[in-house]
Amino acid sequence: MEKSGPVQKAVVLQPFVKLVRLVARAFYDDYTTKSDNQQKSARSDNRGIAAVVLDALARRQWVREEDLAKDLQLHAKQLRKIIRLFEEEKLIMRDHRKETAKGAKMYSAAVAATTDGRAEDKVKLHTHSYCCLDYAQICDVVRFRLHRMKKRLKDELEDKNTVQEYGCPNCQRKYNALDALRLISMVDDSFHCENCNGELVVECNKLTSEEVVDGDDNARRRRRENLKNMLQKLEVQMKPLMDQLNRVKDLPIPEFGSFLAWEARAAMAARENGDLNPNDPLRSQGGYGSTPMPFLGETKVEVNLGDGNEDVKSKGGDSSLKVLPPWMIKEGMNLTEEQRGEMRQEAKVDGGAGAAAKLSDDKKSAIGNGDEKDLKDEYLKAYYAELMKQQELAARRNQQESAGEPTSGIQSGTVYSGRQVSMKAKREEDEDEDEEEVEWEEKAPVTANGNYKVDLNVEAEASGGEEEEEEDDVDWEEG
Amino acid sequence: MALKEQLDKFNKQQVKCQSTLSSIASSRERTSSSRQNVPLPAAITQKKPDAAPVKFSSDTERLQNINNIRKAPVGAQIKRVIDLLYERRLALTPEQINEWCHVDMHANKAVFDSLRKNPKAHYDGRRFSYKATHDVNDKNQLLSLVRKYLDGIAVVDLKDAYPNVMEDLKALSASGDIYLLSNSQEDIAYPNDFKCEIKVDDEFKALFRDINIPNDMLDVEKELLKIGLKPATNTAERRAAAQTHGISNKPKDKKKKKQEISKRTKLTNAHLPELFQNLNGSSSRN
Repeated sequence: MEKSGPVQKAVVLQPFVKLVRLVARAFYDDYTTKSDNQQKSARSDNRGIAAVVLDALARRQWVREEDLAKDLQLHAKQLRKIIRLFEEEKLIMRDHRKETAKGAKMYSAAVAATTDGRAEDKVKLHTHSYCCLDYAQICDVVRFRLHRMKKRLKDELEDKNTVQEYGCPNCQRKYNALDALRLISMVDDSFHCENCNGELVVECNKLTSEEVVDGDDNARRRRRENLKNMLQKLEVQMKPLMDQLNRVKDLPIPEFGSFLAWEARAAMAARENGDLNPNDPLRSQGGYGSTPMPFLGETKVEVNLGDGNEDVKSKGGDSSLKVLPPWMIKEGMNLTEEQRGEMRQEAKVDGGAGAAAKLSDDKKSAIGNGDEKDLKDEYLKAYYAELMKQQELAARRNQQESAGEPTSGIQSGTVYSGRQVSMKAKREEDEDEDEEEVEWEEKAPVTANGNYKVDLNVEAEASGGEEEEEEDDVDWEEG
Repeated sequence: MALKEQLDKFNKQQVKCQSTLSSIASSRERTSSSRQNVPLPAAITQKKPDAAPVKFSSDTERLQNINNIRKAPVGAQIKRVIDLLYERRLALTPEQINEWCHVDMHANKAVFDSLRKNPKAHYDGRRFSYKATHDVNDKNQLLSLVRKYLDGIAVVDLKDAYPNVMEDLKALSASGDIYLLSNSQEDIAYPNDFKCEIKVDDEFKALFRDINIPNDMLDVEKELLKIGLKPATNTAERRAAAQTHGISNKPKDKKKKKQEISKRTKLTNAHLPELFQNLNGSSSRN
């Protein structure tokens, strides 16, 4: 395993490592993880395990706990106890993640996983924890505690804490003199516990508990001398630690960042150094980026569908223009009548001309399909019959209108054929409006479907997030 | 007549002894060279006039033992030689080895070749000597060896260095030069190359560990600002960066203790006395 990850060039690590070692040997040198049961069976005590672990962490950056246990030839349980203590003391950072055994090895070697996320889902996932020294927090916490130690000794020396404390021998509860009102008993002269009504005992939480609180002047002076000696001794013994803290104060603090950031940085460094699998981090990044991609793809697909529809419509429009010339050439008589009608329609209504052209185009296309002359003759007969019927209908309508309005009747009498043509135009206009409405209806469900799909995607993402949250909960429980 | 009977018995014993000696000599001729045939008849001729049955039996046992050793498989003979080298800690010639543990390496070529290639034995052309896992001879060399292994070295690998290894390890551990830890299976020695830098009394260590750190790092930073020191950690910035990554890094809130009922607590549901069976003092008071 790589014991030293990529080190930031600008940051000097040696003074901080020395600080960590000083703290380890100053305050955790006699720490043991033994319980009462283990003491009998153990061959030798485990004093010094905390210092050993801190030294090993000082030589590494983010490291998996199992790998660290293997390197140090310790039990994983043993190591986990120590690391949990340091996490509570805020000396180290810890991160948990689910990954396969192969992925864990790759990650611990600062290389991204080779397999995709989908493949990993099939394999069993285990929760692995990574830890790393947090030099910034170590500086702050050590200074904080040193300050508190001195403050406690000085307060003791100046007799600041004059509040008496009492303890119950039965239920191990503690009270102070400010609770005296609740502790007074009517039966006898002593204080009694609220919970079990037992008699309270005066507690001495002084650092020099051997001395009597209400001693004479000589005893009090002796206690004060002891406290002064302790304070001086503390100053002398903490001097190397304070010197190292002052030396470290002005230096830039090494910051490894969170585990994910460090991992990405390590992968980039490995890639620059000519890693054997240069594509792996790219794949992993692609894997991370795979979740938003399907959404974008679906959006594009919808856009293409819309374009296709438009193309179809435009093609229909183009085909209608080409059929016009042969029809006009072949049928001279019909053309003359239509030419007259078209001119008048254009004069009255601009849209009417287009509609008429469409209708005539449809008829021409039908004729064009059948190449035989017999079909043409039959069609012409049917056409003339329908024309006669329409003329009769138009005449009837004109009569009705003339009865309603005499002035309009005069005009209709003079221009009979024009009226008939105008009636056709009106019908055609109505049909055109219907078609437009149909188009609008067709467009609306398309957009509605799109919105619905988008909503589904949003819900899917939300559900995905929920799943992630659940997994996080599981991780913590397992941890 | 009694004397004649005794004479006949003695002659029979003589015949039996001669037959056993001749069989031993014949077996020797197969495995050993002709040199060792020379002393055998001399021994036989010398011991004939003594006529002491005790000497015959002891000599027979010794010869049988030698025969068993030389007939044993190659591995057993090699182990015997290595044990001898381990105990003596000297460079021995094959003749000396034969003299001490009766393994005749000149007569048995398989033993000789295997022993020459054995990782635990060193052969310099004339003498064999024991080769330990680590070439360490005294306490100072032991300490320098342990310091080379920053992540610890198993004590099992050090035991065969020299006879007093364990005593030296314990002495170094007591003086603080190394840490000797056990993981319930074996002992491991770790170097402690940071000694005598700082010495803190036990009461100060206990005082340091008794001080509770607030659960939120922001409180520590505020306290340091009060003192006048500049905090090295920037927790707010860290959390902002963590949120961009989508990681929840908030510290867990400690579980609040349940407030037990004291005598001052107002009790409702007085008509349900079974709810308050657990209370000792208050029930007696009420």
